[in-house]
Amino acid sequence: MGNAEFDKFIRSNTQKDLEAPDSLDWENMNIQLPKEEKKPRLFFLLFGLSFIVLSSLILIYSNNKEENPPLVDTEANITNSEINVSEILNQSNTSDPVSLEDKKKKVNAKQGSFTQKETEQLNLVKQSILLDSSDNLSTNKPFDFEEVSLGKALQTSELSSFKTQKRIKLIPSIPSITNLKLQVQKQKEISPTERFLAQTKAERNKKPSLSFSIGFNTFNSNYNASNQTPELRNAEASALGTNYNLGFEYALKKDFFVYMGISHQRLRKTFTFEEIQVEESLLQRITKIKYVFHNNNYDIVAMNIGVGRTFSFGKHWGSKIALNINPSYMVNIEGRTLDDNKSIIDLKENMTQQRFYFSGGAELKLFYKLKGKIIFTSFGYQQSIRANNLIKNSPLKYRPGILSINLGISRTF
Amino acid sequence: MVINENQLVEECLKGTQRAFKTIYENYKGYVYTICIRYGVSQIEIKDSMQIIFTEVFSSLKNYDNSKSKFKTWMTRITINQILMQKRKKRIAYETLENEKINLIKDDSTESIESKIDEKKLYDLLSKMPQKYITVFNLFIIDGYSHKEIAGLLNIKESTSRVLLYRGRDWAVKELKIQFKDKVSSFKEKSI
Repeated sequence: MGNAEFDKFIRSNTQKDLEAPDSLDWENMNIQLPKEEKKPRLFFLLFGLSFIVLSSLILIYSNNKEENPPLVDTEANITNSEINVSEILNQSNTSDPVSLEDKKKKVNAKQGSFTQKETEQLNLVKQSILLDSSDNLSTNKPFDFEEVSLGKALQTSELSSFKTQKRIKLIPSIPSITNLKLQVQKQKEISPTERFLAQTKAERNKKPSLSFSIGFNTFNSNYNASNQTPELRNAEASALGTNYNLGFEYALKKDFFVYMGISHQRLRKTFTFEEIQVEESLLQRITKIKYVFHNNNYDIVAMNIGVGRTFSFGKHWGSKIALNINPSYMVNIEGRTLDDNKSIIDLKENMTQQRFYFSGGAELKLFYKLKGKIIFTSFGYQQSIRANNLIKNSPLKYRPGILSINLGISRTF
Repeated sequence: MVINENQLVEECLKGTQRAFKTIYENYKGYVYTICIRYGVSQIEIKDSMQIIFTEVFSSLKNYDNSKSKFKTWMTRITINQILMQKRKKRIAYETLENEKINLIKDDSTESIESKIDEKKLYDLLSKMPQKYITVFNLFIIDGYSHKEIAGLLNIKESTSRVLLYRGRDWAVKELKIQFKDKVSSFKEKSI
């Protein structure tokens, strides 16, 4: 009899189960039954998801709370974010006992839309500033244009509190400076030159698995050095954007995996820029401060192609680390930026035709397995491989770096 | 109404007490037999079965009916639990690579009758020395390979082979004694 035959003999004679003794009946056993699955876990997951969705809606709403003013400045389109200083001229007869500094603080501290009461208070402050400025200028000594030259004027009229990013345009309405000098000397008794200062602030396993995630992102433009870059860096501020990702993952040997997916990213920034225009005429000097605020949106569709490795911690928990490359296409841009002359321009109208670029990045995913489904949160960073053009006919280039956090679910097939 | 295993599992996952009891009643004989085969003593068998079924019930949420049958899945858990209990007893599997192995002659014409009393056979196998019984059961009855056994018991493959041969040797000798009337003769060949 050979080994195989012997083994077969043993197997054939061990097919029938023995009868368990009565001592092993269910009633005599003390088997610990698992507790019923806790439904609150699912509740908390749904709660968490709802919280994320709700938060993103609130963020989107708050980012768009302020209406984006049109680029073309017309009287009809002046909003709370722009003060038409010429209106203040008509109200310069009143005085206010409050100190100039306090009033300025009030103005500077103000953010957001103004109520009617606030607007009235603001006007009072402006009038007071106007009077103080007038006092400084209405001296008995002969009017020296050099003294009221821009630099000096900035000091006396407290314009110096403005940041360097402000651009000042001098718009001479008089034929020549010499003529102006002469005329001013002759007209000592003429009502003092008026200067206006107004500052407002506006609002600001070898099986494929399918996954879907949503989340937030924030991005840095990483502008290159060009004419408008310093101003642009000051003017733009980060805001939270949104991500939607859909992907397939295929497990390889030794916990490695490859994945491919598609994502939509809405990147956001706020654009805040103060443009000062000084109009000089024989009788008056008007300083116009145009405050422009805009929500800039960048819509990007990207493919996600990557490879990574899974690390498991126990039965349910684990993490994944992946490196990826993202061919990206800028679908749409909406917002404001500065051209080479540091003038505000519309992004969409001046957008470059080169909308396609490659990004590379890394992602860390933490997951929890739950009955064939995986719930995960991921943190990722991706950056454009090279600098890209942003607007037409400009040396300005940007190299977006996107930091994102997502919450998602995947299912294995 | 006939309820299949998958429905029973679903009921268990919902926390239905009767479903647990049904699974236990359906499989207690099967698990008991495995325990006997692997040499679990009558004193320990109740505790062992309690541990095994507790593990089975707590692992039901991980059972995937698309990957394996319920009985196969349960067998794996049962064997793993028995091996864990054996590990606690620290059974020493010494390395036996260089030992001469006695094999049952391959070309022998003698044979054992194909059917014998199964209970007696189980009794006989349960008395096999602990060193051999695990490898004997894993390889011959449960179909594990030497590589898998080596991994499970943390021994070398060659050690697994030697233990199997020794188990066979022991079993043949005992069979000859126990079933004198049904076994013609065994010849042994030394290699």
